[in-house]
Amino acid sequence: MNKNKTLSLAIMSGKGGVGKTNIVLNLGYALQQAETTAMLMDCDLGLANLDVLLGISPEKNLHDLLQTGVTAEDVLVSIEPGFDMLPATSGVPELVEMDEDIQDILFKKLIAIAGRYDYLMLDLGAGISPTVLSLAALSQLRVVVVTPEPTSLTDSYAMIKVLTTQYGIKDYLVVVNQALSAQEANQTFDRLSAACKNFLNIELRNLGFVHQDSTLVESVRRQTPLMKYAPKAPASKDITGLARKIMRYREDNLERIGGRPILKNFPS
Amino acid sequence: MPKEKKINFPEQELATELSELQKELCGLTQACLGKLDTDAVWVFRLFKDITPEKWDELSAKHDLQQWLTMPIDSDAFPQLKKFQKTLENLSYQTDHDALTGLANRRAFDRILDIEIERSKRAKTPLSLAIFDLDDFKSVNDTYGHSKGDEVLTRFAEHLQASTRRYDLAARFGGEEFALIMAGSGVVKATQLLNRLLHEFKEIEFHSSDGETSFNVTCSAGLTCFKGTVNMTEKQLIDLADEALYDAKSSGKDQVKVSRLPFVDNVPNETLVQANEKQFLFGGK
Repeated sequence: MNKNKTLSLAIMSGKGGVGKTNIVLNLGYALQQAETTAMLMDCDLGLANLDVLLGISPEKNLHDLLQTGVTAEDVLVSIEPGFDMLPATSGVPELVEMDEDIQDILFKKLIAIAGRYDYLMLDLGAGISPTVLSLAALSQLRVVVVTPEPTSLTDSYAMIKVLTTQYGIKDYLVVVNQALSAQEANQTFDRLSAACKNFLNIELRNLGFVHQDSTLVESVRRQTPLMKYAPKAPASKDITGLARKIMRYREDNLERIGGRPILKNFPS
Repeated sequence: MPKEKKINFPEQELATELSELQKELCGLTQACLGKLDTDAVWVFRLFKDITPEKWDELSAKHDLQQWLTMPIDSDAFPQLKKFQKTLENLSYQTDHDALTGLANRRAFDRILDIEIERSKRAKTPLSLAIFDLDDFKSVNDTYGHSKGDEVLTRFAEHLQASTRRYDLAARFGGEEFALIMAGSGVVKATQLLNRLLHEFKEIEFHSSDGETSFNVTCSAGLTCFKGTVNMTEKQLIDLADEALYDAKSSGKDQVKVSRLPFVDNVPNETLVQANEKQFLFGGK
């Protein structure tokens, strides 16, 4: 079913602008540096950002992948050895909402190569659109990126509530991004976690936090991933820590992961 | 149940014979049908020396249209073609209003039922409008019934011309019409109805003597279904009717929208409540 035990993660956030795509990209880097392999898929089909953060302008994207005869390999862009990405489109409103037919075409092609990697990361768009929710439900794990801002906290909670009540999903990992201190990060996690426990009766798992780091802003401007631009920056170290936890999760659950399809409903 | 009886010409005898047989069979079918496992009784008669043309003449004259004839010694095709045409006419009549050619209530009910089902399945909007021409009785009283019929026909034409091919326009009877707009929500449907009403009242009608001209306005009630709640055809029609009543009592010549069933039913199981927000912000 999933013989290489590929772990799929949907990276999501209720609110936009919380640094989700940066987390995805740099997590991918950290996993690659730890000598595991990862594939990123930019699932924000209307407004793609992953390629922009890398300073690349791919010839082909997911829009092309819809065409008959185009394979996932044709669209795949190599970032580093063992670290690849599938770029999305920008400016195609028709693709923002992937209906089940579009999802079927894309994921059937994607699943043909996803099994080669240790990790498949889906960078979901912000919000609680049907597409975001259904992609979150497909993945084995969901990583919710929040910041200490009350708006981010509320939006993340709303998103978790919708996924829990409508899709019956109860397991979430939380990353607190742009935290000024460990104390602030913990307080943020605790509030979200307590609300989920109290009202939804689910336990969130704390994946860790990433410091607010001006180097990150600089790396975005330079279109170079932070892990590459400033591997010693505080945020880089934090992200390496997150990657380690994800790797440990995979190691601890290898058997379970191997027994489940990489993406629900898409047997490989 | 075949019945043997010899019929002789001349014409009057034949006609009497067939009429009596027809009456007899009507009684017979009513009496027997419950006991038979079929809903039709076929009775055959063989006529000599009657051409299909002659039969047409006879059947019209003696009211014998219930009998279908087929020539057995010549080409049956023209008669079969006529037979098919008759069937087509009959099937058209069962679904269409005789005066305006719009769908009748029977066809309307059938289509509305299908569209409600489609809307439920696909969660697509479905709008229903009911129209009533304002003060139509006074048009009939002042200008005569044939003028009234002309107004009805013009309204039907206008309704048909202003809507899309997949909308269904129907005449409910009298001066009441209905329109099923599949795929349209309240906003689009309201725009369409306002335009339709506006354009219709611009049409100038003339009295038969050509001396006076007049205009007719129309009121409409609109409702919209989005497949999110369970509703019957009758409930939907009632909602549109209530809106029509509202339009009439608000001074006529306007569109009114009913209470919308889909807003009552926005799910709130996922709604983030005030106490949940307070908890997030304050920790308690």
